[in-house]
Amino acid sequence: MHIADGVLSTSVAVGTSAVTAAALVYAIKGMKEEEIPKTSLMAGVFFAVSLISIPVGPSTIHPVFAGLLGVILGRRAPLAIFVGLLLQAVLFQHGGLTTLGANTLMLAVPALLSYGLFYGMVKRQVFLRGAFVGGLSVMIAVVLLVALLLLTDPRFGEGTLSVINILVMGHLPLAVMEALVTGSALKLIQKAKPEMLINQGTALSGSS
Amino acid sequence: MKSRLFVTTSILFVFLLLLPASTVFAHMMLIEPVEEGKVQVVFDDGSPNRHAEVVVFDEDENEMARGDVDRQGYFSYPAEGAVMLVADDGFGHRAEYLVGEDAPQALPRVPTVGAVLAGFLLIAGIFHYRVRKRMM
Repeated sequence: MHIADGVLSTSVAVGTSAVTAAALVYAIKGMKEEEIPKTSLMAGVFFAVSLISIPVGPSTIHPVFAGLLGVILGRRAPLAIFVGLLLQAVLFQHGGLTTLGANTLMLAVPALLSYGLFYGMVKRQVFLRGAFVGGLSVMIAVVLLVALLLLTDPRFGEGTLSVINILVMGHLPLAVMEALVTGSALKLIQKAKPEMLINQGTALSGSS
Repeated sequence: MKSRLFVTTSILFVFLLLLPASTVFAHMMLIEPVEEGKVQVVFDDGSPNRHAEVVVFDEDENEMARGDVDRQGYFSYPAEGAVMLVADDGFGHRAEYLVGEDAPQALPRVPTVGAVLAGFLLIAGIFHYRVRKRMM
């Protein structure tokens, strides 16, 4: 799902970088020292899991867990995603520096949305809410990826076996898997460390 | 707070232990020279990319040749005058290769990932300690 250097057109790369810069300012603003350990550890988890890739058809997919990051980190999620992707780009040429903005944005948007949705649906079970945002995040990330590719070159969408169709089909199993993992993880957290979730809820009302 | 840190740390290290066992791992794309006039487009786990299109450029960055790789990721091109090859599979993977250059050396994956995780853990530890000290 990472876009490599040179794939996006310059205007798309510049535009997404600008939006990501704004998202990072938003993520860092008002950050308390207490939040740093959690953010740092989640950045590490994200860095490690999104390096694992699973070949599907002609492409490869890899777990991203944007939903889980969003629910646990809230508005700090873009920061963890950015740092994780930056290290992947620098150390493993996984993604690229010019596309860092686009790659961050693709995951930061679903992460922030998940944050809002998860704490917005209080009445449902934690597992269901987690599974919902986990699966939805993957689909949003793919939609954003598709949009960026189309903005760069409309040829990506041509034909029934187009790049875009293959990307969408390939990510369906990932969406199911991430839905299950995100739901289970959040249910586990709710049982073992409920304050981890409640803290986020109060952080939302406190900061906005 | 302390036990939360412990739980998260444990999760991190379980991931770390799983890393070497994973055979399919990341997907940086490379162009590897096979012989003069022939390259193979592969992912960094060694599996070939069967769908890439390779474009050959000469000294003045003019396009000399263009074509798809075969089912094993191989691509043959007219070696004379070729300076740079660019492979793109249209899925976000792109690789460049300067003719005559050795295959790029990737960092050893497991130690690097381990070092990065240790770094994140250290940052988390330092701030955890600072916060606790302030609270006392």
